[in-house]
Amino acid sequence: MNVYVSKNGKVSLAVGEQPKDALLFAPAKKSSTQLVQEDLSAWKISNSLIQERFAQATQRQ
Amino acid sequence: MAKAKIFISSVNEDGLKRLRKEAFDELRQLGHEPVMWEENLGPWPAYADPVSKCLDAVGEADIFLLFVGSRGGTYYKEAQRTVTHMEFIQAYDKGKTILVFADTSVKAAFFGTVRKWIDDFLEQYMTESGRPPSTDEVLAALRHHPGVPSHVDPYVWFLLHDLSVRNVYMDDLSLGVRIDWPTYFSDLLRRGSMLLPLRNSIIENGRRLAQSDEAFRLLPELASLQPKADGPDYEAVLGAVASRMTGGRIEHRYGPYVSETVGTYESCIGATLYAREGEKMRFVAKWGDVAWNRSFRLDDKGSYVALTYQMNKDTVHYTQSKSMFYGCFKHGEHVLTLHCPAGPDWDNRKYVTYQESVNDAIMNKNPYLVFLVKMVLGGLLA
Repeated sequence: MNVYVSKNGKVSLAVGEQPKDALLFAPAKKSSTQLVQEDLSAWKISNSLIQERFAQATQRQ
Repeated sequence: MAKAKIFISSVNEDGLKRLRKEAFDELRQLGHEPVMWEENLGPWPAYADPVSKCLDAVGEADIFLLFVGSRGGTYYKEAQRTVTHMEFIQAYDKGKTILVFADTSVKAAFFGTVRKWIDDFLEQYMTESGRPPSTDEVLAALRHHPGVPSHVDPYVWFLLHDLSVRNVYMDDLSLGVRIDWPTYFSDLLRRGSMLLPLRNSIIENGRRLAQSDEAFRLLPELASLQPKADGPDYEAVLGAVASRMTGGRIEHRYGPYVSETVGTYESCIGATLYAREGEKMRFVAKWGDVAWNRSFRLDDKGSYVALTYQMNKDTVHYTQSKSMFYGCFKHGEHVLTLHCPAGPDWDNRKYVTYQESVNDAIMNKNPYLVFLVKMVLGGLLA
């Protein structure tokens, strides 16, 4: 992911050495809203897997 | 390599002695580590309390194997339980794998009539006396009831009832018929093997639960905040959030397998909230000792607040001169910033190398918390 630098009122790609007072940033790939949605979805899938597997493992044959 | 330690428990009655001995020998031949009083547990040393010794051994075992016949065993008046029953309680409490074999005829009588009779007795006793009966009272009632088979010690029914209430499965035990231990333990291995791969899923779900729990616990705190004369107490809201953003490690992942700690960040020391007003981001509130401006122009390229708004993305900013990470979160017309001091050894070069790890550490610290705060602030500012 690209890192940007804000200096002298301009934003540009951070290439090479940067001054100590420069503001560096790299936008996150996902927002916290997306992270929560994906995490909740993964949580549900994971729970289903656990329940299914426990049901199989504890089934008396 | 550790062996499966199997505690063999049962009443010391004639019908079960041979079975216990056979089980002990065969389990040891199969490579397991059986533990049984008369073989390798007691009664030495002489000064040791035998009951405590048995209970300790149950606590150390991986599997608790219980045979139930027609005898109840030694009853401890003070505990109102037999030793065998106390061993079972210990295994259940410690979350051991419990395997129970009960005599088929005893089991059939229990599930056929005795269980319901005990249930009815307990309910009726509670209704009439307003309290549950003591164990002695249950045993006396069982002893004198003509419909309960008298050749079986009443305590056996009491024990089986406890097992059934706790939903512990009971396998059939036919005295004189050998138990096929290799097949039985192969099936146990099959079942256990199905569950071991769930380890990561269970750990991940635990992490999610802890994060959402932390966010959920913030709700009543936010709801209890008293509004100020000029509107909501944003400073208190920011403080409630910022104080939960504790420091942590910044880890760099090498694919899905290995990660390495490349640095740390400290707990949040301050927070600010800005709202868009025309062509500016107007200061709304702050918490902690942090610098703030009355407003920033939206095209101010030197402001992480304005930059976050314009990019329309949650972003972590960093300045080496202040040794600070700024977690910036946009929601609607608002930008929330959380200020976390960078740990030692961070500089521009290191940030450029590990910026993705920095984002992961601070943005993913607790997305549920950030999500909740965005909703709350969005509602307050709407």
